Amino acid sequence: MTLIQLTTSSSRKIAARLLRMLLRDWRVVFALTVFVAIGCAALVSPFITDTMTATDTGRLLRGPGPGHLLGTDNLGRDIGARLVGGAVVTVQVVAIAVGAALVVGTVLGLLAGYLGGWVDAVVMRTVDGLIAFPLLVLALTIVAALGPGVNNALIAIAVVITPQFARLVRGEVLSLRTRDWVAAARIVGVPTPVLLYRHVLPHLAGTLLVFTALQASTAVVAEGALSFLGLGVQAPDPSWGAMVASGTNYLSSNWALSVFPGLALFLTIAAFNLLADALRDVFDTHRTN
Amino acid sequence: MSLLEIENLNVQFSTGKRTVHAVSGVDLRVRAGESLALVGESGSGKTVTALSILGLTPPAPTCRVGGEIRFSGQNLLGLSESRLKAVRGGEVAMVFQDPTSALNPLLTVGTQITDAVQSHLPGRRRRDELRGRAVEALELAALDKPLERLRQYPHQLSGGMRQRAAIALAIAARPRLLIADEPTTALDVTVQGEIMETLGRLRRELDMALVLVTHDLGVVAEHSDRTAVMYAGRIVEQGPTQQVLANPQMPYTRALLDATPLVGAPPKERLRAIGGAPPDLADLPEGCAFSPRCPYAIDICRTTVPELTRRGPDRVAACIRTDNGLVINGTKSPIPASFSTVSKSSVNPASSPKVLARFTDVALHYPVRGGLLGRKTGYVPAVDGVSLDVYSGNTLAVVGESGSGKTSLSRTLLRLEKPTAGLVTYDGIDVSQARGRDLARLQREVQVVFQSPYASLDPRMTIQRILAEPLRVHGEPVERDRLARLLESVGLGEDALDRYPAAFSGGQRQRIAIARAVSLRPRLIVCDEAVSALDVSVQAQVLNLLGDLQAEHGIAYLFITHDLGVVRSVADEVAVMQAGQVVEYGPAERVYAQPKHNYTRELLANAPRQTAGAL
Repeated sequence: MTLIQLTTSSSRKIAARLLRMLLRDWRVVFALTVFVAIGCAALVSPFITDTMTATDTGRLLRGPGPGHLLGTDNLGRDIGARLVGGAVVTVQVVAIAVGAALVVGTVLGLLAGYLGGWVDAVVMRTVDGLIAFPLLVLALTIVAALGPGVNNALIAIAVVITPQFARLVRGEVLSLRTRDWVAAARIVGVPTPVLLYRHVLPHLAGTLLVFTALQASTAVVAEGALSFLGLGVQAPDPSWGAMVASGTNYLSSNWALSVFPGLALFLTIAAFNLLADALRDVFDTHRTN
Repeated sequence: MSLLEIENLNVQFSTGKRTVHAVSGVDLRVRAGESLALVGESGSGKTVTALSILGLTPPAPTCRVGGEIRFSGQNLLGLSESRLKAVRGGEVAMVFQDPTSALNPLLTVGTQITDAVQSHLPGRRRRDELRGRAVEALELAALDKPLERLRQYPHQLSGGMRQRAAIALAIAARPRLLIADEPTTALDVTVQGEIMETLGRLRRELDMALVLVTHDLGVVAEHSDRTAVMYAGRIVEQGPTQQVLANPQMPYTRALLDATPLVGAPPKERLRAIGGAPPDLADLPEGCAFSPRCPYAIDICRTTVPELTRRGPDRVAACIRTDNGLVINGTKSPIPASFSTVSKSSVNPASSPKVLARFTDVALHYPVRGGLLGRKTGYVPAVDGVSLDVYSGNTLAVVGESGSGKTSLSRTLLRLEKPTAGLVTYDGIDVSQARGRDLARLQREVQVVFQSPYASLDPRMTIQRILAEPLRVHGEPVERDRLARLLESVGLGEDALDRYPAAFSGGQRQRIAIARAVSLRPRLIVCDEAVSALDVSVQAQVLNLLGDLQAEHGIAYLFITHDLGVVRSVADEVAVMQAGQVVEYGPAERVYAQPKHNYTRELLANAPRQTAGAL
């Protein structure tokens, strides 16, 4: 079944059928499972802050076992509890940094693509300049300039991802603006903001959804890297990236220290990538029309 | 013995739960050296039939092909892919509609032809022998300077030359059967005739049979020995071309002939449109598939599928009515009842029409940018000093081939382009400078209907929202009743309001686009090739609708088209454009009867004048 057939019925029915289609896809189910797990972890974490920061010199670097299911780290803290705590940053990265990049990037791309002229020149040259740097190097530079910390890491991630959205949206708008239905709307005098919102933005929805999922995985990687380097989440707050970093020193004495947070990062990134994949399969059938 | 014999060909496409019977029980014969025209509208199964001869239909399970296709006695449907390859291109070759996508843009014309020759000759051949063959093929296809063409890439050739290169590619291995699928549809009118003549000459010189797949009865009349008419996947009439066109035995053939707009027809005459739309192949009506649209249908037509019965030597037709003695020849099919009953002359009296829109020395130059800083290095003059007037309640047709600047000209009136020089005025308003109240007037009073019924409606909006938009922008009430009345004025029902554009056929979408255009009661509508993408039977309906709306509301049309025949039924005045300039401009009567410019004469000579009577 394709979206082309779906579009013949009412929009509520379409949404319902689309949802059923997606829920039959193992990739979507996997991604949702991971997201629910991370969400639950983030919700629980405020209640176990004591556990995750409590040090115990009597139980350093224990392997997984009773008492501490996933073992303890070099300060005797419970790895399981710290994993749960690390979910908070992941949620923040996706919701705040990626969310901001999506909104700002889309608006900039819409304006640049539709208005053209100097707006396009200014926005796109800036975007080109930012994209010219490797993503992580740019993020590092920004955090280094602003100073280490979670908030600055979020800002840095948002800044490096925004140009990606702007560029994607601008390209799509350039082709959409020449469509006859847009011309027809211009001719009757539909105001530009309304025109962008009603005749251009809805056609970007599918592409943006897929792209957002992909960028979310990039953002999670970036946060992991920044925290790994000590520029993101600051001790004693837990972050998966920072946990992997500190664990590398103790790989020979306790493998669990690096492997479990690494696994959490891996699952999160895989979930976003697979979700993007599944979404693309659904929306592409429409785009070929 | 026939060269090609098709017996009981059935082709089914399955997508999900839907099964589409694209071709049902088709029997065809092509003798050596003969030209057979396969005629029908989109979805009639003509192209699928042609593709299945070459085994080019999609693989199972999407597509299932049944029956027999024998080429000099050998059943092609049973052949393995490797055996089929030897036949394909070697003994049976194909020319497609769009030469741009049929040729590989990354290889020279020469390479493509020599590859084709090599793959159908035993053993390796020397390079100069292959080159010689390629040059010969290009010469046969009447491409000038063949040695030069060998080294050229497809993008360096014009559309007509590209189609000649594609023909050279097809005939390089000297096939005994050439299948041409709408070989001239994508080309300009003046080139179409030459290409068809080349195909005809090749057929005689190489003693090659030709299967000509087309929707154009003018092409059929001039270039085929026998004709098979297809409707809804079946052959409904077959016989010698002259007999089929002069004395059709199937009401559909008759109706198709009547619906074809001709330059020889009386001016501004209502076309004899076929009502309704072609049937959905996944949900065919019971009985004769044409019966819902047939003016002669009686009860038995709606229950029994008519068999092909003999109507003379080498002639068959599938119609119960004519088989039982009904005569449909001579009498033209009844003019369809119009939903607007107002006749043209009564409402649009000769109250001297005033100039509504005026183009004065309009030029539109597109800049060519180059170099590091994107400086203007030159310009392309799309429109070059054009002066025209559109009178209220009248139709000005701007006729020209692709690239003549006719669409660019109309875009200056629609405020989609700013003229580089000259002045476009609407009712005294300078269009490019309009502000405030003047701008609001333009937005209400000047509307547009575009060519593609698929691109002009936002696919993500319901028809209700699409129709409501112009009204909402201009602060008018948008009750459902009003929108329903709008749809009614273009012959669609209220139930269409809640559906999306994808649910409608091309003709229906074009009606919706017209409903949107008339919603603000405009005084001028720009029709940019508004019927070019539609099938003949549907085209006539839409042209009649536009005529009715003009008669009822006194709307003026600026009608942009490449087809002089189409214009005949709507135009009061005609302007012929070539290379950005108007070469002929005057009342339609005069332009058709006494064309002054050579180019106009050439266009007229290449347009279908008559389909049957001339034979």
